[in-house]
Amino acid sequence: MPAVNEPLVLPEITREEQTDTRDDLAPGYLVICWNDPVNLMQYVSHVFQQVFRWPKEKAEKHMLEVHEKGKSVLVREGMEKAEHHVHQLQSYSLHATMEPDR
Amino acid sequence: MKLLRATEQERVYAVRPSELQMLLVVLGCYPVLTRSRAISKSGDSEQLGDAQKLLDEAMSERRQTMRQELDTWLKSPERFHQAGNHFEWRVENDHREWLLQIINDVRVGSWVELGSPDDLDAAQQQFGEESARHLALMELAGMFQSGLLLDELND
Repeated sequence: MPAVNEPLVLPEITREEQTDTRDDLAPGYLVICWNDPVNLMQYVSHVFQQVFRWPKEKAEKHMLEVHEKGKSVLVREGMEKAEHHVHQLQSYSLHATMEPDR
Repeated sequence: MKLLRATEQERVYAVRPSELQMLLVVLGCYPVLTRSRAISKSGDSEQLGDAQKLLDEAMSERRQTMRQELDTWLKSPERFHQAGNHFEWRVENDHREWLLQIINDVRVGSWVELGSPDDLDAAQQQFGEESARHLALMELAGMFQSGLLLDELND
C-alpha cells in the first residue's frame, strides 16, 4: 500500500520585533532622593505617588527611608528615563539626583 | 485655611482675610529658587554635563512660564470669593500639582536663601532681621502646603 504523501506542515517561525530602546541597552542610573530638613514628609510622599504612580504605602516607605537613612534609591533606569524622573522630582523642588549604577 | 468642599473639578477652601493676604505674599514671591540642583553627585561624564545643562534650562523656562500662568490664574474673578467673614478660594484639581510646586519652590527657595541650614531650630536663634522674611516665607509656604495636602490624610 503506497504511503499517502500528506502535506507536511511546519510550525511557523516568526521573529519577534526587537523593542529595545536606548535605555534598555545603556548603562543604568539610580534615581536617588536625598534628605533635607525643609521638604515636609507628607509632601515627599505625595510627590512619589504622583511621579511614579506608586500606592501610598510604597511612597511612604521610600519617604521614611529618605528621612531616616538620608537617601532612598527610587528606581533604576536608563539615562533618558532617569533624567526624566530627576526633572520631575526637581520640578517639585525635591533633592533628587541620578547616579551611575556601577 | 479649611477645606469646605471637594468635587471632581475643584476644591474650595475657606481662608480668613489675613490668610489670604499671606497667601498672596507667598505666591507673589514665586520663583524664589533661581538654580536647579546638581543632577548627579558622582557622575562627571560629558553626558551628565549635557544633562545638567538641559536640567538648568528646563527648570529656568518652567519657572518663567509658571510665573506667567500664576499671574493669569490669580486674576480669575472666581479665584477668591468673599463669603461673610472669610474668602472662598477655588483650586481646580488640574492645577493642584502646579500650585504645590509653586508653593514648595517658595519654601525650599527661602531655605536656600537662609543658607540651607541643616538644623532649622538652631539656625532660627541666629537669624537677624535680614533673614526673618525668608524664615516667615518658609513657614507660611509650609502652612499652605499642609493645608492643600490635608485632605489626603483621610484618603
